[in-house]
Amino acid sequence: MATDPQHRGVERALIDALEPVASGLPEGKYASTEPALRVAVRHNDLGDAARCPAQVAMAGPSPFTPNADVATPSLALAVLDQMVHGDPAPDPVTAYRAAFADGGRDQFPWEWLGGGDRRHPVTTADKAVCAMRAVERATAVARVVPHLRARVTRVGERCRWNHPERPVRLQGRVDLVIGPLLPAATAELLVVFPGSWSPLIRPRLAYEAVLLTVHGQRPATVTAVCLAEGRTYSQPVTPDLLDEGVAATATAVAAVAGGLRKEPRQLPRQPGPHCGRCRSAPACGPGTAWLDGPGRRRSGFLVGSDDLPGVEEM
Amino acid sequence: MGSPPPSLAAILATHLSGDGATATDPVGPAALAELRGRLEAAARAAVLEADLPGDAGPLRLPKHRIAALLDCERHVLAALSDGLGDGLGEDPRAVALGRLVDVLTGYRVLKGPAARRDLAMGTELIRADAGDRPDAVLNWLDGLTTDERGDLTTELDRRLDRLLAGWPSFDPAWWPRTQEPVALTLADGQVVVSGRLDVTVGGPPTAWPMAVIEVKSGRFSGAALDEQLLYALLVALRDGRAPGLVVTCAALSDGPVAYPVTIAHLRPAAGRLEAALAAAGRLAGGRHRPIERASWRCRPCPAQRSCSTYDGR
Repeated sequence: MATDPQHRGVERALIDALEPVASGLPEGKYASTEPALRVAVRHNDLGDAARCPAQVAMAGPSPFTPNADVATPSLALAVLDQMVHGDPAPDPVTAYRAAFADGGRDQFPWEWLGGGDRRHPVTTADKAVCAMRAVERATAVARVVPHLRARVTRVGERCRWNHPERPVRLQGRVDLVIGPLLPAATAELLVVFPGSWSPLIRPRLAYEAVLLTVHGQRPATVTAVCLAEGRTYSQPVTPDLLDEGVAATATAVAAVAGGLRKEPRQLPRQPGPHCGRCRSAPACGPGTAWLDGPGRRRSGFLVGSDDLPGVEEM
Repeated sequence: MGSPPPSLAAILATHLSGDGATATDPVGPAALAELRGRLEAAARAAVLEADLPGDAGPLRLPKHRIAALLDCERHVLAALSDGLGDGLGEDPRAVALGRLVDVLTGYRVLKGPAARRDLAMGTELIRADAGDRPDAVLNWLDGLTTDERGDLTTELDRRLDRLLAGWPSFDPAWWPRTQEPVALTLADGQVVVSGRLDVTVGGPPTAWPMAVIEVKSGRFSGAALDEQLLYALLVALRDGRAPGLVVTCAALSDGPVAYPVTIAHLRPAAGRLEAALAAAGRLAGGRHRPIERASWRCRPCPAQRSCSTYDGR
């Protein structure tokens, strides 16, 4: 059944969908102190959870280590911001300075790239790799999304939603917005992926649509910008897509919560090419069976050895 | 004795002269549509032949697998079953030199002629690029003795000196970038062909046609030419417009090798890709005997003793 398109209806549907997993979590405060256990789902958890919830849970929360992989998306967005608002060509140094001066948004990468994080010193090579990747990605976005400067209204839109009663927080990130963010469904959200289209991208798009909708800013369209293949894939934000987004969010919350509670065995196992690189595959019955299936080992070279496509963020 | 080949600086100065407004498309949309149609048909045939389960994911053909499949299907299977992985038994020192040259030339593009280009900087660039992921080249570099590091330093310096002579300062107005991924999705996403371009300048949204610069740590060879033309094909099908120029800079050859791209270059590249797609379908399906061909891959091949084609190289 299609969800009520009004944002309150979507929020109610989200709360209902999360109830089976969220009700088992200890309650926490949000205002001044962090709860001991809070399920924080981030945008890039959506594709992983859609692939195999048990794999997300078995991997568990990874310690945060700043590196070029983590900092590149923010620097690429800063370069795009500069291109949208002035610079004719990508310039990572100017972009870094502007973002550092701005300060408020994404404090982590600027502090680390500026050498201010004493626990994790940045190297010249780290900075160079971030700059090279940011230029390459910003250029690719400008190639795939023509007339950036004339059309894009916002760069790097972030959105959060806290469950009103349970210790669950959802965090989203849209790379570019075209048109005004209004309740009247006028905007197009663009999410950039470095690779090519994969069905695992769709839950991520639906998730961003849900998050903006519960904030009263329902978009008209969500679009994946797949840089390597130079194409965009647009989905109109329909009640069905919002339903998909709510279901995908519940799957991701269950996967992340399963990791925090160290209860991965209760989660669905969805074997596939990702089993070839899963550290838990030897102890996972469905994963082992999948890998031992007819032709898997032989064809693994051709289907499963690469990075899985496109679900990592820009 | 002929005149020395033009430097990369001279080649790019010619390619990027003027405002680019007069550049014409030497291939055209009709020819590209014809090539795409041929590749679509080959990809669909490969998917049928492979007959993979629905949850297997797409057939993936990055550049190095295309080359390996066309060199020798038997070697691909033998190397995999012997646990050699996707490197297929390539010499680790050559692989490391190639990676070091790639990252240090990328750094040279970013920083200009004053960029550091020693082994320590190259190792740190690889480390930064790898992040949390395990990296075989990094492991190999970390395991070197002092003497081995000394030898590698000497060799790396020698190759970079030759390679980077005549390189320009890359003007930001050219939109220079490094390690640009390019992918071609076929058969409704069931086949993905991909590559990574070492250095690129121009192309949309600039007014100039794109120039693709490939960097080789060894000599220019037929394999390097095949690679160059495959990249031209992938860019043409991605952007709907062929790059204006492909250039290969090889450390152990004299000067860059540059071609303006025409349909006469893209047709053979498409033919090779069709053949690789057919080989991928055959291998994944497993119903046919893999084709054997003698090549440089015979030397590290685990199947050489039982292979009638092994030529003792």
